[in-house]
Amino acid sequence: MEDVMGIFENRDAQFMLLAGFIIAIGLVITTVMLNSVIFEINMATEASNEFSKSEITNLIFVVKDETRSAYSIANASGGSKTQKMSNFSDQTQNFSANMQKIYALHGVGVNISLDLSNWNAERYASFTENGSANGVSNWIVMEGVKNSTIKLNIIEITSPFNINITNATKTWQINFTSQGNYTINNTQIKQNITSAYAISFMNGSGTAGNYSIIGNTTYDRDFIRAREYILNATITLSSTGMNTDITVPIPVPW
Amino acid sequence: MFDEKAQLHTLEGVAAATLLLTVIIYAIDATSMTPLTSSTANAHIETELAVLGQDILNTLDYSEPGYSSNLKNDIITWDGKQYLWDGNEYIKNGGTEFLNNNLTAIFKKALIGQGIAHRVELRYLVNISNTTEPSAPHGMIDAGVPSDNAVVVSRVIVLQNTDCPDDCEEEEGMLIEDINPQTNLYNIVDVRLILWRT
Repeated sequence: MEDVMGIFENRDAQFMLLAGFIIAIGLVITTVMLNSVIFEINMATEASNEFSKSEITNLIFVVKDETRSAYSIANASGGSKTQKMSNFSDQTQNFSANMQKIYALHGVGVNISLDLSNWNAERYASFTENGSANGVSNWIVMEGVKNSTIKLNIIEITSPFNINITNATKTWQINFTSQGNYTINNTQIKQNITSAYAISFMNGSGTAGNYSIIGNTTYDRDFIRAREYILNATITLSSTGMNTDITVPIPVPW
Repeated sequence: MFDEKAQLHTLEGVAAATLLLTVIIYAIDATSMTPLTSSTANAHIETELAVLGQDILNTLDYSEPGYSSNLKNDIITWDGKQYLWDGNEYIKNGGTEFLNNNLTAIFKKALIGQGIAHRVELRYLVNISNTTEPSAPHGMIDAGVPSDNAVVVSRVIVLQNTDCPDDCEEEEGMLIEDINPQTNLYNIVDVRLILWRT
């Protein structure tokens, strides 16, 4: 009888229950935390879908396309530089205002502004890949060319600049060491190299000016590659809790 | 043996049982949010569909300098009518003509065989009282009402007057108007591709 009374009088059962309570509360906390973590992970996934890389790429592409179009049309319309810049601004401002309305459908605010200082001051682009002085100096302008005419207007030159015309077996190098207008027509090219060939600019970082390469490819598709200035476009994107400025150098006309 | 301790123990037992039951309910609720549950799996499928849709639009919207992309050409040559998939071709809603363009060619290869329902809508700008406003969505390709798990990917296309051989407004059935005749900018079109599993 004393043993039975001893069982009821000790506190082991209460300690066991207490341990049970503690474990249970621990499980509740863990579960709630796990729930919250998974919820947050899902929220983050949705947030990343909100403004995708593709949308930003599309926006940059559209701005480039429009800037080049406006520049080409403004130059084709003739008149003074001021008139051309005015025509250019009319179109791009109209474009910017309307882009805001289209992107409002996506829940995103868009503002586009263009810096025309290079055009206004007639600061021509370097003959590098992206047009800036510190861009890639040696680069391929066009591949698979059948016929072409290359026109260059070298405004600044601090180190010799070369154009390499290369086919599968041979390279014809044309050297430029001074300012001036140059034309390499299709006949000259054909006398030195057979198609199909690639046109590359070498040592472009020390040279600035404008160029155009017009021709067709081995699959009979006309092409044009031309550059005069670099216009910097700043695209401001505004979304919930986010504000981003993207500055894009845009070579014009192509 | 006949004091209140037995009642206390019983109450403690009931409380513990309740708490354990609560834990089980919480655990069941929480497991509905694990990565293996259907809702999260749907999120993965939606992501895959969105990537596929973006890839389709990226492919169609590529163009060399001086050329219009295939997607832009499809918009310019669209007759303004709605087309439905009849099992073999995209047929005009209420007509007999088929739509055969770059969009339908890629849809047949990439979506039809996978059982992915799709819809193409265009929104563009319209002039109303001398101000431009986005239009209501105009369906180019329709496949019914999208499900709750449908994804929308879009591509913005800028149309210029010089993109059309003659005058864009002279294109057959052209719904999209010139929003600014004073400049080369013709209109801005938001192409929305909606994809969902059937």
